[in-house]
Amino acid sequence: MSATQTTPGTPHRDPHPAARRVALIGNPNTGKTSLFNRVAGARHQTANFPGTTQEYRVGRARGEHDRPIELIDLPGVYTLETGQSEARVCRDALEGNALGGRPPDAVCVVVDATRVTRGLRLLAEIAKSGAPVVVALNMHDLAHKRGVVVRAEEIAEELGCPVVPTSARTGAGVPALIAAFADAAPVNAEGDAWAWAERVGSSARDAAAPASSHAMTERLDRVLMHPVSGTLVFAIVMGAIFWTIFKLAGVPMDLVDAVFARLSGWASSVLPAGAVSELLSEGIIGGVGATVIFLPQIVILFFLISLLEGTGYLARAALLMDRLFRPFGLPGQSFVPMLSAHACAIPAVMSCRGVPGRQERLATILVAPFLSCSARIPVYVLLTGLLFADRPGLAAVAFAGCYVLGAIAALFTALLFRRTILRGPGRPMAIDLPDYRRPSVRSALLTTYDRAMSFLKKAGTVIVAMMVVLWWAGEYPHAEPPAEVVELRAQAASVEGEPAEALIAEADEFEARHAGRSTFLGRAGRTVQPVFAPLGYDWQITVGVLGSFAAREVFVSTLSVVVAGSDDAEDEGVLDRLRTARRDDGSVMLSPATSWSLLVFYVLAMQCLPTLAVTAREAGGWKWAMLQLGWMSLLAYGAALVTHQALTATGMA
Amino acid sequence: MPTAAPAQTKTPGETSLASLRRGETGVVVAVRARDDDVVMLESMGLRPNAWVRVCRTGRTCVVAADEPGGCPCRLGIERRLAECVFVSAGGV
Repeated sequence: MSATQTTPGTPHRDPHPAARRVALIGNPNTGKTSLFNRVAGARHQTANFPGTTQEYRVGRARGEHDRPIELIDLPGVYTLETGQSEARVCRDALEGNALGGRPPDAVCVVVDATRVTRGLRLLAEIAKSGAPVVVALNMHDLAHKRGVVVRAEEIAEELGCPVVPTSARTGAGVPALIAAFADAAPVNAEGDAWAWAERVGSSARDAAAPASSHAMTERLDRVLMHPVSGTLVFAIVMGAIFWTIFKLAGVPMDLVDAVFARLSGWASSVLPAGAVSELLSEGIIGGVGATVIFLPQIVILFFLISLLEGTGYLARAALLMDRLFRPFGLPGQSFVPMLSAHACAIPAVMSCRGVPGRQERLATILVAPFLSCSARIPVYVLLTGLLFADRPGLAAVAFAGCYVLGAIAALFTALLFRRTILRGPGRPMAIDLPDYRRPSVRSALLTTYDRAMSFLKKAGTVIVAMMVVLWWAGEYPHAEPPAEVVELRAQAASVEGEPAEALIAEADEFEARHAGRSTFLGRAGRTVQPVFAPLGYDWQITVGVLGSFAAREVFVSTLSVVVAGSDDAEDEGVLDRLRTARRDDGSVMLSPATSWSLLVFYVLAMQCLPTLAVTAREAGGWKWAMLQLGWMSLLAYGAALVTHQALTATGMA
Repeated sequence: MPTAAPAQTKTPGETSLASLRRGETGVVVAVRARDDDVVMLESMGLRPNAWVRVCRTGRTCVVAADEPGGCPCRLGIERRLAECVFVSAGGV
């Protein structure tokens, strides 16, 4: 049972023409996705509807007589009759205008058994298309627990189609539902949709059914949605997520780093020395390692977010944050990506799928990388350490200031984009607040698996290719050691002890600088240096900036190699050499004005190829990634220029 | 940047959902907003003749909309949208 392959912008092709195509549709918070996970498990793929940022999932299962079933999980909707993107893609999918032009063979309408009328109202709209329908009366166990009695047989009789009580949480009724796909039948729902839904719903329910169970939700909401206590709890919950990501991701990230370093070392030791060995061990294995290292953060973030969503809290948090974000043209739902971006922009951009409204989603994707991610930390540490060597208090203030500057840039960029290229009315906040409930760990794990695979498969290929190109430019062509190096090494061979070690270190540094200067990246750095000169950067810093285009954290090691001949920037000796490094004209390389300029540049610059690749995928095209890159680079350049020029004018050069 | 209702006029006996206080109830008379917003609010449960109870007021309101024989839906809506939902107040 293999999943179907689809990519954004390409028609959906079913490799199993005999598969029964079943579209899963329902109101948000009806357990639709959990039901999809129950039926298809991990056998699914996520893709975007062609030309949209709206995603759908395709899964596989086996039906009657082992016939394959292709299950399509459509976005949650209340109605098909609005112009909202979710409603539009659902309409297109049901009418056969999307997914390869083939309408579904059956539509499975997932109805919350505790709130039947609202689900039946959506069914009334779907029925108008004449599509064969199956109803999954989900959360049937919960309805029973709450004293809401719904007689599935009577609804089935009224509708003339199968109605199957299910519980996605426990899996009850799922095999019966799969079997019922074969018996899907059109439903006749004439007249006003609400009136029809109320008539059908009330005829199959006990009139005296109590509508209880809101007590706990009411009590919790009194605290969690209160402007003061709610905000406090929100800060604690988000802080805990943030802390967990940082704390827990560190170990697997180090492990990934160590595994790939070992793998790289093993490859270079096994293969004969030469270009192929270097390409494999450093380019390809290094590139894959540089991509996979983000995986722990992605996995932890999406697992925690999925769990939180399962409790019903996320909807409340979105409502609380709406007040803060709305003046900048962003909805409350943008808080998840904005928070996640402080760990890593990649999962942040991926989590923008939860932001409703195309313009708002795009705006959130475009500004998320402004928030200071963990990859910026080494750069901040280096530069604030250089600026305030013996004043840790001031270094901490400067460090915190970087986070503030990034947040301000993100919010005002969002405002700018929402008033220009992404103009248009925002979707007013109207959100269902589901009852608080115990989240499904299984569903959270499957969602996490889905996100992780999506990142590795789609972004990984592009990212690795780009990493290899940048590695190649930074390594080739190899230069012969200059005469000075040969002489230093000869001198080292003629003495012993510390003098020999000092000579070898000097030779290594000289050779590394010479090699760095000779590579394509080194040459490019020297060529484009005049562009960066107004920012105070000499050719060495420019090589560092260009080399870190793929990943900003590389700046520290690149600069260390170019200047000090070692990539260990934590080595005090290397730090000292960076602090006292000179330009070709003999002036100090990292003057205060240049250091401030670099700090501002790295707060605002994109400098992360993986994020660009993910933006292109999530936003639905490379034009958005290029806009993100262009705007962030422009802003970073402009702000760094102003910083350097202003500080130089005040004598800090 | 939510859109306001094109005509937020109320007839005698009606009041907007936004003007109800916490704990007060009412029956939805009409939703007068942009077409898309009307469809969205009604499909979420704020339809004419629906009984509603205000659980929280403020810039965003929380309301419980009835579901005959089922559990009420809790909805969080912006105040500007709540101003477009007209109810006949049903007392505390």
